[in-house]
Amino acid sequence: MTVKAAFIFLPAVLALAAAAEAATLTRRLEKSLPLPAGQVVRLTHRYGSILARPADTETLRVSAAAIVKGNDRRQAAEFLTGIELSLASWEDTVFVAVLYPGLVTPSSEFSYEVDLTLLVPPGVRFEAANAFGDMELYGITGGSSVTNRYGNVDFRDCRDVEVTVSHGDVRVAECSGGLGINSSYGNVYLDDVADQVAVDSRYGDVSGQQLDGDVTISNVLGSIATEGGRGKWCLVSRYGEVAARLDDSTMTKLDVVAELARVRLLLPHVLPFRIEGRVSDGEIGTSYPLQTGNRDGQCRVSGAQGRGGPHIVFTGAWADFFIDPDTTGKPAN
Amino acid sequence: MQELTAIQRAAAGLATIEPAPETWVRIRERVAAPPRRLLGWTWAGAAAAAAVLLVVAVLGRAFVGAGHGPRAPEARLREAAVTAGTISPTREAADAGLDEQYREYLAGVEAAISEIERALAENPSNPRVRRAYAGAQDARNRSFDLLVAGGR
Repeated sequence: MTVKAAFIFLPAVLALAAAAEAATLTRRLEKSLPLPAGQVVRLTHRYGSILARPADTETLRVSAAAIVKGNDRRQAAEFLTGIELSLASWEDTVFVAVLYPGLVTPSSEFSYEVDLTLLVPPGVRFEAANAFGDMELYGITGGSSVTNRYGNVDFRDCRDVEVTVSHGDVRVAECSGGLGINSSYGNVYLDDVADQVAVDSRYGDVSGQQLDGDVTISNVLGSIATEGGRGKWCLVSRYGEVAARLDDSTMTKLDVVAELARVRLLLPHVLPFRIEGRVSDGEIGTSYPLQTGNRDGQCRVSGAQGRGGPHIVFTGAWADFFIDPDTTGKPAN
Repeated sequence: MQELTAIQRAAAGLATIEPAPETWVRIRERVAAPPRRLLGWTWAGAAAAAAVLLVVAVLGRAFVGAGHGPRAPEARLREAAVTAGTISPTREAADAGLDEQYREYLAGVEAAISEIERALAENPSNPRVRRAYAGAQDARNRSFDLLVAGGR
């Protein structure tokens, strides 16, 4: 009787054991669609990274790498099979999305994500919104608008970029055209960015190297730090620190507005500049031979070194400004 | 300025700890309460508030309905930054602004934690979601530290 029972129940037990076996399953999906210049690709995604880079042809190619993990192989396999990659065209826009099947009661070990790679044809605008995944864009020159809720965003060698990131860092390098960044909780890193640059940050830090053009950076609780650069700049800080090292005499204008903040400007000895500033209920400190004094409850400074160079204007309240020679030894241009 | 620096220094020196439940309740009440200085605002304060609303409206237009607008996004952001760069009319208004920023910071972190918890319900073991959850909780603990250390 016992042996007979074993023969009856063993297959069922084995089947159950196999079903409950922990599994990591993967699957690749690919789709493509002709997409001429001037049109738009719009992607909405969740759980997974997005990589966008330029295509050689006028065809949008999307490849998806899905991975599902769980302690129930059958459930994981069913879920993986149910994942769809959708490309839908409507007028001048192609909509891209990953569709996940519904899963009513996932176990605590269950996880899934889909990493996307897009080859974007030249001249096509790229728009994407993501949550829980990083985004990387390389060489997208048809313009891009990107939103990310939880994840970092990297741009390199792109043109005309608009970014909104809630909880993640933004890195932009070697980009040009119009750049607009709206960052809430993460940091912003800019390197070798030119033309029209506007950064609006709230709680993270902003740092920039070799920015060139019409640059506006505002921050609230985070700091602003810049190194080198040219053009016409405006730095606005509420409550965060500002540190700017100028090294290029072709910079034309630097406006600094600060409230409840500390500002430090480093200027090489050989850099010509003209400066004027006033601060209410704060301090201005400098080792340069500039005219300083108090008038109408405001601390003021004015003066120049050499001819030409940037015209520096700062305004502050409950803020301290320090203008010092650069002792880092880095050459001025 | 010195006060702010002292707050930041004190906060940096503190270990990341979960505050006592009663502390959390007190902070929540404080954060949920309307700003104390509201009744004391002058017309100048009201003008500053209008300026803030303008900034919010500009940013809202810039990013909620982002698309192919007639003006470039960086131009809209630049305008908003310049408006935001207007100095507060009084020290009280500046302090109230700082209070408001802390309040919004914490509210944003709380909203993030709720959103991530919903994501965890459908994707419980996803490492990206788990990392986001740990980051948001860490941000909440740090803001507790700052609030407790600074008395705000």
